Amino acid sequence: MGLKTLEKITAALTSRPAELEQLRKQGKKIVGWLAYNIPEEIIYALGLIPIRVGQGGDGRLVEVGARHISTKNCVFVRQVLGQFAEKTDPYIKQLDLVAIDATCIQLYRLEELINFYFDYKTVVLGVPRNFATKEGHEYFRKEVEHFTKKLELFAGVSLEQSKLQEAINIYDGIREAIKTLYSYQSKDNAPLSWRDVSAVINAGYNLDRLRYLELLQELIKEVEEKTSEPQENQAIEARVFLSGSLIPPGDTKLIDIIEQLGGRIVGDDLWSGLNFFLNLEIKEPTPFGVADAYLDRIPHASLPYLDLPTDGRLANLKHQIQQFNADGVIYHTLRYCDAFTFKAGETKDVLKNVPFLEIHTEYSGSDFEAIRTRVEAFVEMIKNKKEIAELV
Amino acid sequence: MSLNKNFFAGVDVGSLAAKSVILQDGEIFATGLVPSGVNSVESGLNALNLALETAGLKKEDLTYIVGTGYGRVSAPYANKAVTEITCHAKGTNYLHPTVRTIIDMGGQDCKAIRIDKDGAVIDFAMNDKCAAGTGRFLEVMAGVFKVRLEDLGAIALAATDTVPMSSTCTVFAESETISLVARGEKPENILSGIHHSIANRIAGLFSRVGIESDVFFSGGVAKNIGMKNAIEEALKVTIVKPEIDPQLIGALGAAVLARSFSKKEGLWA
Amino acid sequence: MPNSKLFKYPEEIKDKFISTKGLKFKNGTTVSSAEIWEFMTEEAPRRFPYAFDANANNIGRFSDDVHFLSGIKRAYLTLTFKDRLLKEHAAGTPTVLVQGGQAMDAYYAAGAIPVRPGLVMQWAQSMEEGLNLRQSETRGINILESGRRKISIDACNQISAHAAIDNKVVPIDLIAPFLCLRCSDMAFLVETHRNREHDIPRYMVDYPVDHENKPWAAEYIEVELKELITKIAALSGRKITDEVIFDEIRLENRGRKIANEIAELWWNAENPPINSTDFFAIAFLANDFLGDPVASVDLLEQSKQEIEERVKNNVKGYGVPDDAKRLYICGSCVGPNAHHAETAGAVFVGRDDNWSCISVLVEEEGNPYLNIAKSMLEYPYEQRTEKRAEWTAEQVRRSRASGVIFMYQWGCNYQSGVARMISDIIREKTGVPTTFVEVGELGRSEATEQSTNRVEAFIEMV
Ligand code: SF4
Ligand code: SF4
Repeated sequence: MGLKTLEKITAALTSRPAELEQLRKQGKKIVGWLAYNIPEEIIYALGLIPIRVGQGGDGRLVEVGARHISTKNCVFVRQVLGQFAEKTDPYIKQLDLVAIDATCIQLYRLEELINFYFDYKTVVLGVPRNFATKEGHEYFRKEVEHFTKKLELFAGVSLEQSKLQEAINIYDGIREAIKTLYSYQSKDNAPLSWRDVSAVINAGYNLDRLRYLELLQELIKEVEEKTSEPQENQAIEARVFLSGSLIPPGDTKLIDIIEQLGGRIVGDDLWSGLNFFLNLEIKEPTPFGVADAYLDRIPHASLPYLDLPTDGRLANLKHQIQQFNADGVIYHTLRYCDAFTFKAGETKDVLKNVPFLEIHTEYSGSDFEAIRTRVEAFVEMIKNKKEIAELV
Repeated sequence: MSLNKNFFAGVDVGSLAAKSVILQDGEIFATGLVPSGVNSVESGLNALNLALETAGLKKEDLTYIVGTGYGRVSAPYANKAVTEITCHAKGTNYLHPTVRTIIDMGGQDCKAIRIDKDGAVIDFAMNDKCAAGTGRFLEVMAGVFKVRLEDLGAIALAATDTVPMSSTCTVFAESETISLVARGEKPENILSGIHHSIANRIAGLFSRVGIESDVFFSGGVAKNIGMKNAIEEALKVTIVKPEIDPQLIGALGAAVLARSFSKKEGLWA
Repeated sequence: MPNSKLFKYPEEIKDKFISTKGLKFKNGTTVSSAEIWEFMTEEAPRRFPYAFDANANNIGRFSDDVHFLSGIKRAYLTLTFKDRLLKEHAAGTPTVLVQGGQAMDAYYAAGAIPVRPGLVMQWAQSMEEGLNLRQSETRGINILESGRRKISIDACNQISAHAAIDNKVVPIDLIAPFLCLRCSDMAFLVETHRNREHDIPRYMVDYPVDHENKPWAAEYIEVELKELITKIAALSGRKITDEVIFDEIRLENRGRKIANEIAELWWNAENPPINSTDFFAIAFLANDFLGDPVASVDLLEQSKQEIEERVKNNVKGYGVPDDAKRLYICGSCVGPNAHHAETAGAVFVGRDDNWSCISVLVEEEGNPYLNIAKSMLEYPYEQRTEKRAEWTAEQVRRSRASGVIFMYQWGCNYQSGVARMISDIIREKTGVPTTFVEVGELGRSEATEQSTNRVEAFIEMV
């Protein structure tokens, strides 16, 4: 939609790999990280460069990865393994260390594999499954402390509170900015789409975080200026909310289909999307403070929780669906991602009358038509419903 | 233009067969059914032409055509394309207004559809590519036993015993079957096991969308009596007897929609 | 298959059998060998015909080494599982769904009977009596499918156990497993119960990853174990002191020690003294205790005596082929069919899963909670994959295995994730050929030719 800052972000992303090369020559170290609960603030505060790695949507890389793992493992894990095996990704080939947290044990297994087969230096952060308990917090504090020590050794510096506070401020700023962008994209006449915001988020995982924050603030200003008043009599739209397994950079199959068929994505609770930026409040600039804040976030589906009514993940999902005024939920589950797959039926039950469609898929194109039919019927169903509602 | 001079057509191109229904004044005027070829446009046209021929009409006589099924994406002859889910809902509602639940089993996939009294879709679920609940899979099985697809169900009915099968996917199901054949198990008992295992998969779809009577079974596989019985058993329901060839329901629904779209677009009052 | 012959214990061993010791149970009673014989030859064949199906595909088939008399007693424990559990449950003993391959000390000590998913499935299947093998499998599959229907077909067959609990096929009072690094489905399947009608309480003992040299990992489990025991004690009404727990630990340690001694005896014997089925049963018994640790330890002792006798006289277990190829089995919950493997010329020398559990003893002094926590963290099977593989390679050497089969179940994402890596490491460290097989048939007897073929082809290769 011709937003200048979006172009700037794209440009910054294009030059980033070369920039990293330079920085490495100057002695900077790059920490690639995977999974869902790595406290980037600590990496950043130690003067290391955090990069979130892992892409999806590439059947060929999945095959490469599958040489070292079973085809019965989550396809994202397989593809990332393929990326590590090939070492051609401009970021992955520059990593000095890989940090993986054990929120999802399949990713923990991935850490073992890349360490064993491809000789990457790795560090693991344990994550308690009993995350809501006091003992779970106690454990995680120690884990984050231990993780910090390992990174200190690697970086050759010790963590300073002031540096950590600085990092926290930057990340708080990023989190706020992303939330703001989300609320803009869901408006009528928004000058940017959900897809744009998603691209911005993906870019941010690679860019220098301070530079990224500046760009985000610039983008928000531009968006504010370009947001016009909504017109009356808008065409009936199917406002779709995305939930489920992550949709990493590169995996555009479902998003393309939804948009091609006239659906409009207005929000998500994905870990590749908004969830990552929500409810993270670091009260104290110490490893313990960071640990508590991360554990008190919206829980990732990989962490089992035994009481339905108080499940924070579902509460957040319901809240966001309302917030973004969505008409229906497309719940995306990657094959062999049990965390989300096993909860599909339950999530549907909990959402009661919200139209709900589960798309269970992999990164191959073979199910393109089948997904198309489902999404198209879903969009038809929503539009029909709204049409009838408008008539009466 | 008055309504009764108008003809509406629905064309449903599936993976195994292409179907067409022509509707006049709320009555089914003619139908056409041909096996699907590699070219889906051609298959659709063949089915449509067959129906036109039976009806003694020309394509120009048709007011509106709706395409559906996998071939809908490339159907230049159609005014509009609608998914087969919506079409099965409409078609079923048109013939059997009391139906609230549809099981549709075609060549590629299997669907569980819940509809309201007006034939609007309330909810649906479709099986995944790997679940062994499709016509294509039964075709493979017919190949293993060297019998005609149409006869599979009837053979299964003769079973004296049902071999328990727990096929998680087509690959496992096929190997289980081959194992059993090699061991000299009676074909009818194996087939009975296969039908029950597919019925279980279908019951899985319904655990997500729920079941409300009456229940209708559409699609090519609906003609398989063994499948019908197994589903009735697994879902604990009685399936409504179809008034027309259940394979035509999608095309019929498309024709019904052709009628209402053309009305909405002001093609007739 | 439905018409296949039923297995019978031959009359000529009766006199010898009933002259042996009976089995002591934890409630203080003793069942005489005569009673056991009566049950195994009269009552059980009538009530559980499927268990006596002589078809080689019958995965639960008893050992046909009828002269290994402890084997008959072990079958007795299996077939009386249902009666014993129902009786104890009626008398107020809580039944708890647990994870297999973990320490059971805490559960038994707190006055509960731990039941792992595999046993829940068997128990559920046995709730209807008089079934032949096919009928029993059909019953099993119906339970399995009812579970998959609610959750997902991506789930492994463990889902049957949860479906059986949901559908109240068997009475379970608490769902409280240890989580671990082997099992991808347990945590998520426990979670599914929150959306069910029943109000069976739930708890999980988390198992931290990468716990080496991290005292806080054991401390975390220690707190959880206290919580677990408190929850069970509330149901059982038992007053739990450290001494109560240590008593149980000592008993179960004894079982583990005997099982290890038996393994050493077997490995070092010129001729394998008992066949694969009987041998595997030993390690399983010393990990699970089949609802009664007292009876199990008693039986382990009797088994050891018999085996010692055989080794001394250089007797080869019935069914073990001459010059058998020695296979070590890896992976959770599924394994190849022992009868087929023996017919094809092989014998099983060990299994990483069960041997892992018996290889670690719980310390008998100090803080019992912390001791159990530490022992759990020491299980070789639950270490980082490289370490697990190194331990397994060592087992392969000690058991003089000539081939390794890694088998895993459809839906078992953590085992499938490491199958290749473990096979690679073992091959590299030992030079022994390895293979891995994925199967979709946990607990099934029918239509398993495919995996059987692969195992047999591997045996031929070895
Ligand atoms: S998609 Fe699911 S299985 Fe895959 S890494 Fe994420 S949480 Fe784990
Ligand atoms: S097969 Fe794997 S996932 Fe299933 S119960 Fe066993 S360890 Fe768990």
